[in-house]
Amino acid sequence: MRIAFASLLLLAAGAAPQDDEDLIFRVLRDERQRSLARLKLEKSGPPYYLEYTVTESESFQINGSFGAVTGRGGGKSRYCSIDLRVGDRTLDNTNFAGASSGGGTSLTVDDDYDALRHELWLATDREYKSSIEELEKKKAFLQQNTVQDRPDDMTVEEPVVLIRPTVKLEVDRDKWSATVRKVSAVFRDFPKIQKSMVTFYSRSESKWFLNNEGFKNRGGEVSFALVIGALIQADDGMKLSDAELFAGATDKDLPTPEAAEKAARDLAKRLEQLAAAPKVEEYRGPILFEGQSGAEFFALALTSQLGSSHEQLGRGGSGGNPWREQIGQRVTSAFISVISDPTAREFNGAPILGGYDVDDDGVRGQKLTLIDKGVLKTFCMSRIPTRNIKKSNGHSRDGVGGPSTIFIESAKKLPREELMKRLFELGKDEGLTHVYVVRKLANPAAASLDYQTFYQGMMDARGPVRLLPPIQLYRVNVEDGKEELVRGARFGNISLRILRDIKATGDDAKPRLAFGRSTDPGMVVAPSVLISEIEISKPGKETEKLPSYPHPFFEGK
Amino acid sequence: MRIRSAVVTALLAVVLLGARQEPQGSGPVLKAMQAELDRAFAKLKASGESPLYYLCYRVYETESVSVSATYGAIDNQRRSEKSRTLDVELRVGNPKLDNTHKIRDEGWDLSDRYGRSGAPQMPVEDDETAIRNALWLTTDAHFKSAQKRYIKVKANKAVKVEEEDTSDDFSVEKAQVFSGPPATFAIDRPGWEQRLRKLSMIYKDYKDVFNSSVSFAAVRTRRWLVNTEGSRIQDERIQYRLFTVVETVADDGMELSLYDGVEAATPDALPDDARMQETVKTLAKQLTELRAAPIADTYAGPAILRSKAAGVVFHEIFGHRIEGHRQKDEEEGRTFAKKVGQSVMPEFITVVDDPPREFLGKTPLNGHYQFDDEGVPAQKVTLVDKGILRSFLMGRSPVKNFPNSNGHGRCSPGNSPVARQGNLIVDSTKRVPYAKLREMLLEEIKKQGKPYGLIFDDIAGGFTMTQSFLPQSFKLLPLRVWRVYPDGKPDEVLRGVDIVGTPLASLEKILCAADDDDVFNGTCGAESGWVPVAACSPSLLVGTIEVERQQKSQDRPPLLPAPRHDPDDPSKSGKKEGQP
Repeated sequence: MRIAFASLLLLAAGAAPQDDEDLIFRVLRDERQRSLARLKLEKSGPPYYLEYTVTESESFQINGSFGAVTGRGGGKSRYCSIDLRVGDRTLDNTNFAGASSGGGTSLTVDDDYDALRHELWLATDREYKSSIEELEKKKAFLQQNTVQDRPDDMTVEEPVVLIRPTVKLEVDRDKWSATVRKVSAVFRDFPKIQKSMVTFYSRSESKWFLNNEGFKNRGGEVSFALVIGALIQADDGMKLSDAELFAGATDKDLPTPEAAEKAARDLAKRLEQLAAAPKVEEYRGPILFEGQSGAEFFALALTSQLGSSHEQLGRGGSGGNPWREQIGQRVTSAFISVISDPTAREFNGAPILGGYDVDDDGVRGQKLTLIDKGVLKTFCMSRIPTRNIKKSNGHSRDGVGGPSTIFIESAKKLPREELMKRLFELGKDEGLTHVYVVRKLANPAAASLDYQTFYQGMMDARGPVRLLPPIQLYRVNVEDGKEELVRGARFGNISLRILRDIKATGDDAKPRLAFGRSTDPGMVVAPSVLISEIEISKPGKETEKLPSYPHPFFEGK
Repeated sequence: MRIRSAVVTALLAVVLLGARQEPQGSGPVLKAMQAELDRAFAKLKASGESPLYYLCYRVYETESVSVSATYGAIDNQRRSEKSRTLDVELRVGNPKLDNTHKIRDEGWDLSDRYGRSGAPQMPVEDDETAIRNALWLTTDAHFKSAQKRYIKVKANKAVKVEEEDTSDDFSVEKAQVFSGPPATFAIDRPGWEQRLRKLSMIYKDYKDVFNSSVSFAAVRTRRWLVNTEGSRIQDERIQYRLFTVVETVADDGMELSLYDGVEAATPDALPDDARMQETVKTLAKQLTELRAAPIADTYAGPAILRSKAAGVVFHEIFGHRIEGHRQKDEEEGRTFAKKVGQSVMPEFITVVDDPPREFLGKTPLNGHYQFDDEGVPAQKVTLVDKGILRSFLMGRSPVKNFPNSNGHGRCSPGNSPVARQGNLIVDSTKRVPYAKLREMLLEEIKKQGKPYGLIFDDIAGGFTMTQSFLPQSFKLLPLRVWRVYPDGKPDEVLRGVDIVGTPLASLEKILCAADDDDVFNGTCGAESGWVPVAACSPSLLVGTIEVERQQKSQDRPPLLPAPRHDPDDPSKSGKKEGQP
């Protein structure tokens, strides 16, 4: 599974002076000028809006397993995405079900003016023609259907100009190949581990943004990651997998080979313990999501309701964000506030990955209070206006509103001892002898080890909130606090109510990478969180058979 | 793959004499494969409900360099380092009926839907421990799914009517031991980038060429094969491609493209810069001409297929239909299954498929290989002898009256081998110089009372529908077609032609051949993946070819001229807007 890290932005400090000689900007500007002046087709005039985003990426990746490299690859490429609109701000070809979300073209990686213009010319021509067609379809729809209080198709914003240097990828391939070999060889010491993998990712991305309203920006970011994953099969056939994910803006932020080896060993030992643990029983009661899993909880249960609040025409109002009409309503417990802050770079000394200065529409990122003391105040907005919100707040992700770094603030922060006491109280109130603590949910970075189990788990999850199954789950005695690791749990049906069932949080908030519904992890600064009631179901009865013959390396050892 | 013939003869002699020679260069990969194969077979042959009777490991290592340039600039720089694929062939049951037997009306098996995704990747390094680790779990997964499938095979057989062809599922073949020489793979990537930049720049001067590219690709494929019958094969080949594509849109919206290129197994068979420059300029001019050409009409009448075009036609309408395994598959049309011994073409036509052959004249043949992907030595097969169908292309899946492989079981990495073509060669005892063939065409036009005839100069390859629920037809994509008038009017190029027709009818209508045999080197895609092939033929005069007008796209050409050819472009005037 590729971790694309589109969200892991870390910008170079300081701004470079305006660069008018930049070849890419010259190309974009010349084609923009020509297109706006001369593109005409029968009754349609030129576009009223034209936006180009050029992304130049370079990547290098190493995969390894059991002490050897299994693949290396990467390369350099460029892509230009185009947002071309005909009509006007109140009615254009976008925001319509079935319309394409904008097109683009791959571009040469050479700095050749003629070749770049040539490719841009053909792609702009295509986009112009398809925009005209789509606007006609939309107009036809509006003739046949009534849409009350239809919002405009685009907000009005002040132009932003921000020029920063581009970036290049520099990576020591031999050094990292050696690390991948070394770390993956750790699993030669663990006969029970059935499959394992280590992957090193590196990527640089430079972006140029230009439209016809005076917006212009350029910048770049580099990201690195190391993933260690392993899978074990218990004696009864249950497959269990887990992964560790390390990420940073430079490769020095990744663990040293020794630290990575230790992480691999710890992962193997944890899985061995898990395979030997008893199977979980059915449960309904309070659960504490501790540490990393607090961030994972919010990433999965909360973040997808924080953006995408616009309604696409032609869908009959169905689908979309379930909180769309809930501004002013209480959506979480009253002591919880939620902030999205793209400008945050660190939290109590710990670095934050994934911030930005300008969003994908070129608008400056803003710190935003989305939920204040439990009440939904606003959404993350791009330049797509809604009935309730008419301006962008610098949160465009590919043209659609979406959260940046999320901060969960709590007015009921309890130190761990207090939190556990509260957990036990809640359990005893229900007449339970045991309650549960989660420390980690299943990690999508491990999905490639066992697609079947992973996707089965995703598909089995019911309800609008789909939490990944817990991979570190402890059954805790309410009287003496003794913990017992259990395996095979899945969460039952979870509705959005769960965010109002938060009883307390810990005081241990720190920035963590967590996977939400998209394939890229995001940064969440969240404490441990105590939920008053969740269902856990025990594992199903079907498991795969164990291998028909022993592992070649461990046979006879 | 270039093998010095003396070495081959010596090795084959040893094999045929029954001596089991330790192959040279049986490095860590082969060692690891053999060790794990032996261990797996020992453990599994008595395990499970159905006995394992055959196991084969194939490991392919591909390393490729691919460079493409457009308008003087390089498209992208994708670094493709080595990668290795493991293919496991595992059979349970017995050679007469095993898990690979076709299940009729199979549908989809949901319990198997994740298949072998998540299988461990083969290391690209020669680490025996890591290699054996990867082999183990993949073998186990194949073993389990073979057991499951065998049960379904037996059940399916019990509930369905008896099949028409009751041949075995697996043929008996001799073990083969072979180790080919290493091929040098040293590609000067920056050098190629420079050359392609220069060549692709030539297209800048042709305003009717909207999209163009010049590309180079070199792929080295190393192959290791071991099986439980004692075969051990290690060889490698390099495939080079140098080609160019141009595209445009006619004023009426028809998309047009032309292609020219060379595929070869050695770099010296590739054209030099001077020749490529000619190729590029010629292609640009041809596309410009084509853009302005009249559209073809629906037509049926006499035509000449020029040699390369004729080769492609034979490959599609005949070659795919005599692949052995199709003859017993009841979902296939089986056009030729019952025609062995019967006349299928005029008696002056002979068709062979000859993979051991390396050249036609001086032209290298892309379908040359020594051992197929089941480890069987390639044989020259006479398919049609003086018009009479004699044989099929065979892998190790027997068909009625053909119990053995003739070394045509081929696949690309990640697929299971099935019978595929190699070097298809069409020969004729009735030949005339090309000029005379053209005269014969004019006579035939007059004889049939047609207003004109056609000459097919270039065909891009096509696709063939062989399944029984589809009409038994083929479609080819002619690139350049000329209308030829019987009254001396000059030939005119047409655009928008599609050849259609049913195979048997077309083959019976070959009237004569010329003496200008040529080679179409290409890559053929079918259910076992992409394999390199050649199709050779002289130009052929055919009594009837049916064409229809190509479906045309409705998009207009670009509204503005290409920036370079636009006198009012901002880059020319130096005028700038007030905006940033």
